[in-house]
Amino acid sequence: MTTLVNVKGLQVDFLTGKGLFTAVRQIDFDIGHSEVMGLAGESGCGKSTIAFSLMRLHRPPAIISKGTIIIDGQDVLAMPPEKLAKWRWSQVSMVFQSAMNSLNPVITLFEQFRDMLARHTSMSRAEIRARAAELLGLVGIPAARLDDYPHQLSGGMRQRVVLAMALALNPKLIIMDEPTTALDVVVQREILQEIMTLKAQFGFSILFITHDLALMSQFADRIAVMLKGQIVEVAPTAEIVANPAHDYTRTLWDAMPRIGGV
Amino acid sequence: MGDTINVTPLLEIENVSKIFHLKPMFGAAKEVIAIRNVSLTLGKGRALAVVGESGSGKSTVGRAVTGLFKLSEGRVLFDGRDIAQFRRRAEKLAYARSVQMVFQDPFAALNPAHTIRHHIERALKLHRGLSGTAIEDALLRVLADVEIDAEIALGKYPHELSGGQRQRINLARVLAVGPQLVVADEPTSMLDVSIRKSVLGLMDRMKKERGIAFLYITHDIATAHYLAEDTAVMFAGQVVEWGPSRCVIGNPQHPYTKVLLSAVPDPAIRFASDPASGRAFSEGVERIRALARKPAGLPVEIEPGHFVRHRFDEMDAA
Repeated sequence: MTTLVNVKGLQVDFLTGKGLFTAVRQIDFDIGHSEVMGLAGESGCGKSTIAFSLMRLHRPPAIISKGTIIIDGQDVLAMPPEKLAKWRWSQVSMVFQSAMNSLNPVITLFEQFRDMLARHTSMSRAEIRARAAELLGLVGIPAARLDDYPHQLSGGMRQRVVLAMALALNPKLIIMDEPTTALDVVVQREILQEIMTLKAQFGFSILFITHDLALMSQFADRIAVMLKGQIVEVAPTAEIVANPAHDYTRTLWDAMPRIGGV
Repeated sequence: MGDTINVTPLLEIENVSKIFHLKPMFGAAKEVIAIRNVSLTLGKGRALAVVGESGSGKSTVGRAVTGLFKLSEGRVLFDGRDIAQFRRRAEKLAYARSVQMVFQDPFAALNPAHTIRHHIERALKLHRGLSGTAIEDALLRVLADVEIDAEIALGKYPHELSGGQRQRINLARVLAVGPQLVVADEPTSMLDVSIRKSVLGLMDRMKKERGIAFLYITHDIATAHYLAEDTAVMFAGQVVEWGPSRCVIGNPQHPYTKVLLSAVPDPAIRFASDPASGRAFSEGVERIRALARKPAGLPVEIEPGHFVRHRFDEMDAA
């Protein structure tokens, strides 16, 4: 497994009224080709900040003050804006937290696909329609739903649509920021199973962010545990499950409601 | 359930159905059967978990109990009295005082323009009729009960607190009213996994120390047994399986209960990555949903107090 993503010494600061607040510091990690890397931690520990930084989607008052991000040999932080715009979606795409709300409510699914495909490719309208139908098919939604509006779909289906859009340009990395947090457990399981299948088919890498360590263990190859803006432990999933090294990882495990114990 | 047989249960839901009539601006009016023939009982100081996926009607059950709408069929008895028969204002207010709700979204349930003090003081003034120093004492007591530092929290606004703290404030507000029954609609599902257990523990203490009964509505069957002695599993508006939590979780009978249990994240099991088994889960779930959507048969007692409603003729596959 060769490295696709390499992050070194990343530090993100927020400019606040009271001076600089360092949200994440000294973040080092890498993600291999077709590897699922998990990033776990509680709310406010900086998980999403890292996700946004990887795609340079962070906005002021956030600034990346230190470190390098190399994705597939390209220095993300040094990319000029036009190149960056092309690079997003085609090389790295993102499924946002509450992705079900990241669809535009006033245009149909087809228009949402067209918006993105027309910007990144030179496909004709008919080609886009065919591609969109194909993508929906991949996530198990009939092509007939292309002319529906987002509110006509259930939460789980909307999540699948967002996933299909993230796949559209065959990116090498998909960042998933709590992709299933708003869904119930059965639908969550269905969607993650779907993602696993697609990953086997297309071989993209995933940066998977969640606070649910149990769920992550079912899904990720390696897990990084974050606390207060720093990564405190990185290990293969089996290690994190059986033999957590850091106290905080153990605390996370103990706090988890489980079916067996009380 | 043995200890509740001879006394009147606190809450009895008898054969309740609710049909919503939707009249969209365009297109034909249609009926949605939100719940159908639901019967549940809950004893004083006990907790009943109502488990099901989105759209299964579990929240409608909670709303029926709080009397937020008229039932299409059946009745809800509180302490042996039909809540639809409360006519006098005093009766209605007394019922509102006895039954309180905790909502899913701790962000939306508190008024962003008011401090924490305002939220809890209001409950103490309106429902307990307290004033002066009595309020101050009661304030400190309820906040101590939910393990919030009163000195820090009282003057703050909701946005200055974390989700878990806000849910504790919601529980403190409930305590301030002093109800006999709390309808908790997904109280932990918007919280971090890492703080869910502590909020569940808090509710469990409220139940044990104050004798407050809980109707705990959730989609996460793994959390049910932390709080609830009894569990009822709902699908498509019907209760398909119910009984003591340990029986329902330990010995699930209905295929839908099994699906719910199998979907609970288990770190010991990796997701399969081959397309066949990936699709198989989804298809299996769809098949069981289609079965469970049909009118359920008569209840069958599996073990004492543990009932399931199958469609036996179509159940051979499971």
